[in-house]
Amino acid sequence: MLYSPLRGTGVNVRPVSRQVLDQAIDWQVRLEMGEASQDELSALQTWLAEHAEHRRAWEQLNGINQRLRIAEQPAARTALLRPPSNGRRRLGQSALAVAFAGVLGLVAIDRYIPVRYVFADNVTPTGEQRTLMLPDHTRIVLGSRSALDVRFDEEERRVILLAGEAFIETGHDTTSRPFIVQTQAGRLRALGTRFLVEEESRGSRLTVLQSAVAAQPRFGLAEAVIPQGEQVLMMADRLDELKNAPASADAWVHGMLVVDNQPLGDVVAALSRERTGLITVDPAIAKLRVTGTFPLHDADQALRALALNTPIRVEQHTRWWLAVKPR
Amino acid sequence: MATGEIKTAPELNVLYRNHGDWLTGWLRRQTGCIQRAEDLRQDTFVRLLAKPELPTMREPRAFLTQIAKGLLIDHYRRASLERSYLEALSTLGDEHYPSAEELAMITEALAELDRLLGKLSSKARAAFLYSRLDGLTHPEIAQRLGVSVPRVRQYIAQGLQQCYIALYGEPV
Repeated sequence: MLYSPLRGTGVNVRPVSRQVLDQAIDWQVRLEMGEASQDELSALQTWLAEHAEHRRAWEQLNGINQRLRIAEQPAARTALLRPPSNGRRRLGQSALAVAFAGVLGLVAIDRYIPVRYVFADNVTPTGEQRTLMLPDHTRIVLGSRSALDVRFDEEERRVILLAGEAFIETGHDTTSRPFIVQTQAGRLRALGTRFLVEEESRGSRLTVLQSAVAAQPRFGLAEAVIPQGEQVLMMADRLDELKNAPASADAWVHGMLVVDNQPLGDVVAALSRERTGLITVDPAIAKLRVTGTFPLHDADQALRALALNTPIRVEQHTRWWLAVKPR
Repeated sequence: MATGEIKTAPELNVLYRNHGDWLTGWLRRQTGCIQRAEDLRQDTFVRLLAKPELPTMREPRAFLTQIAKGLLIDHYRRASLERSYLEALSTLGDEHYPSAEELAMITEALAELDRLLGKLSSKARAAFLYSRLDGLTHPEIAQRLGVSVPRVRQYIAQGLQQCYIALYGEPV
């Protein structure tokens, strides 16, 4: 959500060994096949736990997806799928006049799309959220592009957040089984509570709205209790520093985007994550500070509202492409 | 080629003075456009400036045209991407025609992704994008492309490897 919209750029770019890369690619393809059993998933977790280089390869591969976004636009896809023409043969032919503008726009290609979790129980597409009621009356709101598995047994109530974000309000269990949210980075144990969990490239962001949640990184030795009103990033090996939870942290649950003095470029990036297609922002206005409350799932409406009190205009070119420009 | 020497500004100046106009002429014959030829000459020398050192050259003109050819190929690839994009826009019934500036932005993003997808065949590209962006299953992709499922997996692995190398470099 918006309090850290341009996150996830902290991927270590140093290449891994060929062997590790091959293994990581093999894992990604296997996960995509949708046949990964719980055993295989634990094998993957073991593999990730074995070595920092394994985790680096994994993060790096996950970073690739956000670069592909321009190809969501059908015309762009078509252009990219044309067989590459032989440049050598074309030498000497005259080309179309091409204006090479020196200034590059900020293209909002900032969505992390996970490997498709076809085996997940609950998956939401871009721009949609879904409310789940679990047997113990726990209410979960899954954000856009999220995937969640529910695994309740006699011992515990466990949900696995595979991608995206979830708002969780736990119900009262008659047999007092613990309620656990498992993520790639670790596990969160609810202590009778309301909280948000969001998967980011570096870990899981936990925001506690009521009571408390006990967080244990996958390679951590002990649980740490995160109290109400606090937010923390849980990485596989440690917890980041606690921060005050932003007042509007759960605004997305109500379909709202609350913006307080943020750069326009960040706001557009947040809206863009909820919408398929491309939104470009003229660099001249990307740093413009804006404030307001906007509908999260209607970028067109939100931008129109923004244009009322900021010097911007929005050009809708196609269903796939909005251009935000100075007025 | 002999061992490289540390490049000095005077050296580059000499190269520019002695062969700059010749290069413009060569580029003009290739592109048929004086404006483009001058832009590409500029780009060629900018690229030389960025090099940590300039090799000692027996054939400075061959050296310059080698660099300029690389730039020309990029240039044509961009032009071809852009043309395909515009054609696709009209085929798909999008009535809006982007301005030169917008088109340049889109073309830039397309060229960047094209670089990322590198030498992948168009089937491998399609398989990779279907899987990553559209979330199609491997059998669905196989059916669309008329290839076997193991081949689809090969394509996706190739796509991941190609993008990885373009972004982070060759694995060590």
